[in-house]
Amino acid sequence: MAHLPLEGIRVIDMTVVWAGPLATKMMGELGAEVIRVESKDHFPSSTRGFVAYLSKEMAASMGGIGGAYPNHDPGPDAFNRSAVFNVHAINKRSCTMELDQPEGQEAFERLVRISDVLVENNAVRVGEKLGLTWEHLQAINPRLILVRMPPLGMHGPYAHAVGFGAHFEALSGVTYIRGYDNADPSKTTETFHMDDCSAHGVLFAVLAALHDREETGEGMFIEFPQAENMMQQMGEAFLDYSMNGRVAQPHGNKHPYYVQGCYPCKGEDAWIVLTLEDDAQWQAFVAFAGTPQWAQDPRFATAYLRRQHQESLDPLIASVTQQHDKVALFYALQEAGIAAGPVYDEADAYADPHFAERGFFKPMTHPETGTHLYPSHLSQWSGLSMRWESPAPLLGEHNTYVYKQLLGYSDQGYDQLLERNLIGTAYPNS
Amino acid sequence: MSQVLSNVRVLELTDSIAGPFAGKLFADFGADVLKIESPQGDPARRYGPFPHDIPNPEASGLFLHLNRNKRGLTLNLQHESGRELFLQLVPSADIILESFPPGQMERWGLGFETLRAMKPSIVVGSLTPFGQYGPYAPFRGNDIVYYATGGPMNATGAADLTPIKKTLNMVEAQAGNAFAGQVLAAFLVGRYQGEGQHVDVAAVETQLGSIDRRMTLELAYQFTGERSGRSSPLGAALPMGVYPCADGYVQIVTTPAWAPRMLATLNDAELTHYFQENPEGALIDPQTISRVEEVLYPWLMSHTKLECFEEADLKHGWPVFPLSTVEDVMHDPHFQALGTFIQIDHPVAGLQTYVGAPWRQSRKGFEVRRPAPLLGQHNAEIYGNELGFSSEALASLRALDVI
Repeated sequence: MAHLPLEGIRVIDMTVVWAGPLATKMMGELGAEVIRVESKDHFPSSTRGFVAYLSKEMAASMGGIGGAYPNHDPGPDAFNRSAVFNVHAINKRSCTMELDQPEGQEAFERLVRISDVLVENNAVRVGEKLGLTWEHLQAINPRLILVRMPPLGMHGPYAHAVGFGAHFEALSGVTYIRGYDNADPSKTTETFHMDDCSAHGVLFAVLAALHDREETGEGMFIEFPQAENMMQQMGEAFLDYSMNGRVAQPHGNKHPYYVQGCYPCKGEDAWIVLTLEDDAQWQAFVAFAGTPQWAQDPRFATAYLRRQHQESLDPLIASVTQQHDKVALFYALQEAGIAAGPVYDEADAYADPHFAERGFFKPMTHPETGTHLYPSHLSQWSGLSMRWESPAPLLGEHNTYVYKQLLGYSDQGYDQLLERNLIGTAYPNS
Repeated sequence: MSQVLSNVRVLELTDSIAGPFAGKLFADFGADVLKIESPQGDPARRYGPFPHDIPNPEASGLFLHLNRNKRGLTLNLQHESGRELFLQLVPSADIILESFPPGQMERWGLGFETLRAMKPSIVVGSLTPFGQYGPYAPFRGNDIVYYATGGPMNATGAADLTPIKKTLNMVEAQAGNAFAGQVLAAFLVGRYQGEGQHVDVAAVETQLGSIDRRMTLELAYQFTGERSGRSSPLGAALPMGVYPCADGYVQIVTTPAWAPRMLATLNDAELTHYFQENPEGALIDPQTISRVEEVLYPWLMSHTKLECFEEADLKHGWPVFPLSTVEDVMHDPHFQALGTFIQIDHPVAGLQTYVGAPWRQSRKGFEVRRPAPLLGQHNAEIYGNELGFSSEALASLRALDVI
């Protein structure tokens, strides 16, 4: 009977916010023991929530992701209860280490010695200050695979720029072309696509490095410049500039070659997207709409002409879609061979029978937030089930396990660290 | 030069964008990716951009980017001889990437169990819009459908406009990006435990499990019962979003922790005083945003997008970033210094500028070994030299439209 590919692999997780944490989440699902090494002295904003402690009022006023606590109640230890953290910390363990203290460095070095992978996505300077350099760590454990994820690389004039995925998307050329084709760029709200790209790229890079290590016995350093990795997904825009000097412009929901759009459905803020790629799909749509005269209209005779006259066609399509419920229309159009999909919010996704049958949302019970359905794995395998074992760890929840069992600290040594406030389970200012 | 995946062979049966994006990752890091196209060629050959806008299936920019470093074969799987030929390639392969409708490989006699019987360690990665099973398994999908039904499209764009997709084919590419990682993980089981796997990836689920807000908003909904909408997901009294400046636009995000950096940048005594008077309250008071914008707009309009970035972010650590165009990016001094863009020569498309390495490694990293293949470029090399077909046999396969 086979086992998960990363069983027996220990990952030190020093990641923050979203990009790094999803990469290590996937490693945990694949069987790795993922140990978050966290500082209890320095709260990393946007990781275990935006702030460590906050009032119920502040949580309510922040709304959205900032206020994402059970029933909007951040509780006395908000940092253990934030959806921002808990969703990606499944299967992980947490210990605290103060890397700016000699005792913290000592413990850290012991952990590096017995680990296989270290992933961090802190600012370049923070990494250097904490000793997360390849030069230093390679000397401690030459089999280590070190991943650092500076958004803009380790060098160059902007290496120390500070920002979220949304910012680097802007600098990489994504945001400018991501807007509406008929409205000002300021109508464009931020996405965090880079974070998602990075997580998958880092997983791939680490798996490839582990494969290499099986054969060579050597670890390696992976410098993961998140912006450049995301720019892989814009290849055709760069080539258009190279080939034709063309500077890509915002195209909204439109496709260059055929009719594609997002159209209103019955109900408030209800939408469906659909594409009419070829004549067969166009005729299927016209048949569904019961408007044979559209098929006779010379403006709509070919995919090219339909795209050329999309401004005239869009209102006609909308006049059909708005008569229908988005999910019923989704089924009807798919039945007719048209690629279409309802615009889902979270409630829709949880209620959907397809995702339910595939078991995409899985229950997990967290000691402070209770039992909820979480998004799970991105693949299903014929012979193995991914790990779905434990909820997001409380800060420092696994200190005893890590220090005593893994690192060999005596009871006395561990108690000393506790007494001297070098490890703990809460941030300052509580 | 040896690369991390040099001893891995991938048979790429997928076409268009998502599957080939996955194959590109394997190829960029050394795997021998045999791209198997139908004799008509990958549809991405028909998408542009083309040099001088002249359509040519050998010079599609999208195809050239997604298929660099691969070797190209043609093979007609509709034809029984084509399927027989494919089976001869299986023993040499570690991974097969495919994206046919669920059940198609089985109908061709190329199902996972058949392939595994030939090669027990084989990994078959199947990437489809909605997965191998479930009520929507036969449904169609593409970039905008994945983002609408799986991703946070409902929360992307302005509340008074339609939801808006991501740009270009980035969601398709992202599905391929996720697919690559999941398949490589399964390969480790195949290679080191000898047990092959069939990997089922639903493109729409790669969005549903996406860290671009979606996962977090899903758990937030479980916690609060609130659905997300088209406003800033960060929600606050501080500047968030795209703002105009002297020569274009900038992206701003201001978390409460970054408010002091914003104040240092704007350097306005009255505004600073407003925050000092009521340190916690000012961060959440809905009045705050108009107080800040009174100072912010004049500041933005007196700076170019690059000046805003330099002054706010590089100097004070308050993230205000330029909305760069593709042209800006390709001439940006930072990306020039990093060597982000590289040139690759191609027999038909000529010398063009491509985005280079996705990441850098201390050893055995990214390399360009060859440009994207011409249609069937490596037929003789693989079918002839490797499988031992005579040139007469190849000619008759060609005559039968098998290759």
